[in-house]
Amino acid sequence: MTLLEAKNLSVQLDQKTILEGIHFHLQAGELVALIGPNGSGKTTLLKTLCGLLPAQQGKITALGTPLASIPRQQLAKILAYLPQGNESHWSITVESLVMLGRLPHQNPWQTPSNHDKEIVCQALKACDALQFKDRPVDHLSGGEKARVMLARALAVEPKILLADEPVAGLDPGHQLEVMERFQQLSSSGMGIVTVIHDLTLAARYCDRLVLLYDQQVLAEGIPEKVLTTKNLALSFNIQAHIGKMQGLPFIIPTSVAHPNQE
Amino acid sequence: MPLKSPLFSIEHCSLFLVLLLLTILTFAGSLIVGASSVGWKDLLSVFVGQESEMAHLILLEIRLPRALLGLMVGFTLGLGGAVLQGYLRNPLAEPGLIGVSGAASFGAVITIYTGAAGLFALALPLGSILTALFAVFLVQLLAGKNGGSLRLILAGIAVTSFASALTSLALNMAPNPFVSLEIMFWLMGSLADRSFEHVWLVMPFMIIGWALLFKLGRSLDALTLGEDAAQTLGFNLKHIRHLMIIGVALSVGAATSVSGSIGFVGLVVPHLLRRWVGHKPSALLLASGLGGAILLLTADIAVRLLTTGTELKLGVLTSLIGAPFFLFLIVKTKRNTMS
Amino acid sequence: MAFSWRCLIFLLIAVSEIWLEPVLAKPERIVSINLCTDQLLMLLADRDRIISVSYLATKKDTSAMIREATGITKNHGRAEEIMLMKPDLILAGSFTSHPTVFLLKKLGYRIVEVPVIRNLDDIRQNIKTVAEAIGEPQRGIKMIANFDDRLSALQASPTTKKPIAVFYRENSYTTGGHTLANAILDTAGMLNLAKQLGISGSGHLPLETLLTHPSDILILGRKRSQKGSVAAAAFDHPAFKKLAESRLAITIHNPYWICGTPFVLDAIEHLVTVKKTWQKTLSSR
Repeated sequence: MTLLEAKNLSVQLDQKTILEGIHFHLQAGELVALIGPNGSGKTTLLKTLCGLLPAQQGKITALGTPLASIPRQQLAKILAYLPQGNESHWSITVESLVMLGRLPHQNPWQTPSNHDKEIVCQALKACDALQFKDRPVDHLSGGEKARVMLARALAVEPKILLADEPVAGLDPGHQLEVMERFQQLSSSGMGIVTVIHDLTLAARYCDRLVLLYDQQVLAEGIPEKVLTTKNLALSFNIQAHIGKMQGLPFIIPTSVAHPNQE
Repeated sequence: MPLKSPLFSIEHCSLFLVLLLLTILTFAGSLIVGASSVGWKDLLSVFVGQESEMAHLILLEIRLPRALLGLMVGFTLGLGGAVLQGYLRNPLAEPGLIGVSGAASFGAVITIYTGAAGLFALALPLGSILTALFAVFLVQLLAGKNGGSLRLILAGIAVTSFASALTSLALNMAPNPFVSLEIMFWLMGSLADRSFEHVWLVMPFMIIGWALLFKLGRSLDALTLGEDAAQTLGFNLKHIRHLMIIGVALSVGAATSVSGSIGFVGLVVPHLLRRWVGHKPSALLLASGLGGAILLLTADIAVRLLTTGTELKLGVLTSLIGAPFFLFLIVKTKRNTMS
Repeated sequence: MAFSWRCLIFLLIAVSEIWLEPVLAKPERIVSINLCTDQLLMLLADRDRIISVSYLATKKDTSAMIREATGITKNHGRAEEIMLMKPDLILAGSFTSHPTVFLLKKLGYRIVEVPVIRNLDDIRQNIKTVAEAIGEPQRGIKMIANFDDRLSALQASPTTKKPIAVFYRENSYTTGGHTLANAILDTAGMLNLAKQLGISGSGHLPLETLLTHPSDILILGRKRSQKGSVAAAAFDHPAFKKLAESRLAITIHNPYWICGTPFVLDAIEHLVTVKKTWQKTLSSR
């Protein structure tokens, strides 16, 4: 089932074209990584896909329905967005922060039901954050906070999860945990799009990669097809060593590519 | 800061019980304090229906409307402050920020300046509320379409400065010193000698305003995660802003129209109570409203007790206490961010 | 709407009160909550009928009747304290705290509001209003007659050349047209520089304007302290001191200038003598 589809998408911000002629689709059970150099429009694409930014051109559909015609409250039940930066403006407890993920499912004036509490508890557990559920958010380390924010997004129980750099700032152990969690969620049917800078992690865990460069999709497909020396040199301007170790792919950037290669 | 502050627990219940009790106490206190010796005994006799005619008049026609207005104005300021701070995600925001108080003050000053205030009892508050509503319309226009909060603050500041400039102009052009004196006294904020007509006038505005503001609770919680995340949780920023502005305009505009400008209540109260509700914006609304009522009723009792002759103005007292407290907050905030 | 009905009834009551006034019994417990009505009341009513006057009546900066006011209970214009005095008539100024006036009216007290005056005719009107309100119309008529006699005596002095006077108070404030002060100047046969400059009510007069326009008499506000305040700083300005040396500078007694009472005549009398001095120095030069 196609969860999310964008055809011929163009996005301009302040008269500046950020994305042009983008085709994108996300199937149920798929884990897709959005990769590309800084400023290539990854975050913009993610925000446009969840309706935060208007597209000047093109059509986005979610579950077969045009995105613009889905009421916000409806969309909020099927799509979760995990913004970059993990901001929490008030120092509420971890548990109540994750409970915010249940807002789309609650009626106004309704206090959290036992069902809500159960889901929050599971989300916390899944992100290895249950042990500090009563701590105020601003007492957490960067990594702990990132996990709590992910738990908040999972508490929505979405069909689609759009995550903007969810592993930034996490130690290797927790990075692996988050990616494994993503894999698990996608195999149970969730469609996940994640912006990620760690190419090794992307290659190892994601079903499909979308490489953005110069306002367009430079390459798209299974990791082996996208992460080629040529693509990396062109988009990231790097020379990289691509290899496999015990069946696991890895990418090591070795040097900055010479500009005249273009 | 206590490490453990669960959300829906006995601790919360007890906070609201304490606040409710203090509200009732300060309300009763406001009824038994005044220039005359009418006190708690007379208050009790009102309940049995055996009071003297004078006590009846003083308690029910002078002190009761004053106490009610203290309660309502304080509640409005506390609630408005909590909403503004939650909406802007800034602990230093206050209800006057979007230009409502400044405009309401100016509207009142104009009625005094033109002499319209002397025509009938409600001319002043009516003029004031209408100006506040007009100002909010203006702020909405200036703030633009796409729900951002920065432009809203800038628009609010612009309207406030313009209103205060016009207020100074009215003072400057006052035809005689008596007009300027009355304007100055009004600007200092007071609840003295308000009657039930004032209560009936502002009550509908305030109640509608409160309802709109309380409706915002969930949205404010969602905004904890930032505007983007709140939108993807199903909240419409534009809708939130409309509700917030109209709710603040109705309630705070009405409050300013009867009491004059009373500073710092809306700033200090949410700040004080936030930690007791686990920093959750929606839980802060009612607590802050009650806190505001308690603070304003206490201050209004204090102005009557502290000065026997010419009454100290309520707004002056709240600012006298509020300003040093504000400084203290700034110093504390700075220290927290540094550590 | 219920409010507008109430207002209408309000107005009707107010109007009918004015009509019924002569018929009403003489008030025996009169309270005044305004400095100007304080003084008219003390001038017109017997002492035993005055229950209270405002606390300003014994302040020497403002009141011309401190001696008369000592011993009378003072009030601060608050509804509750006034109610306890059980007044049957309350005198107020039209810019007395509006909520208090409305509340007292609502509670059924008879309130007479006396407007701020802008010319000498207003004084006659105010005397009449207060005299009739307290049930002493004859005393009012007598006082107005006295007032007119003294006034015409003052105006009888021949006017050859009118000096130009200018008010110069703390913070460079001056007083222009449509004010009691202007009426006093006018009656004393002086011209008001501020009025000529187009200032109505009180206004700001920059030191430069004062220096560049011809004036004969400087009327200074009373200095509050010996060493002066920031507000009085302009008085110490070298340019001003030089100007003051070459002009006739007088200081006025404020209480005579604030309220529309017969004391205004004392202020006029004072100015007439000042004018005579000025004319003498002019001819001796």
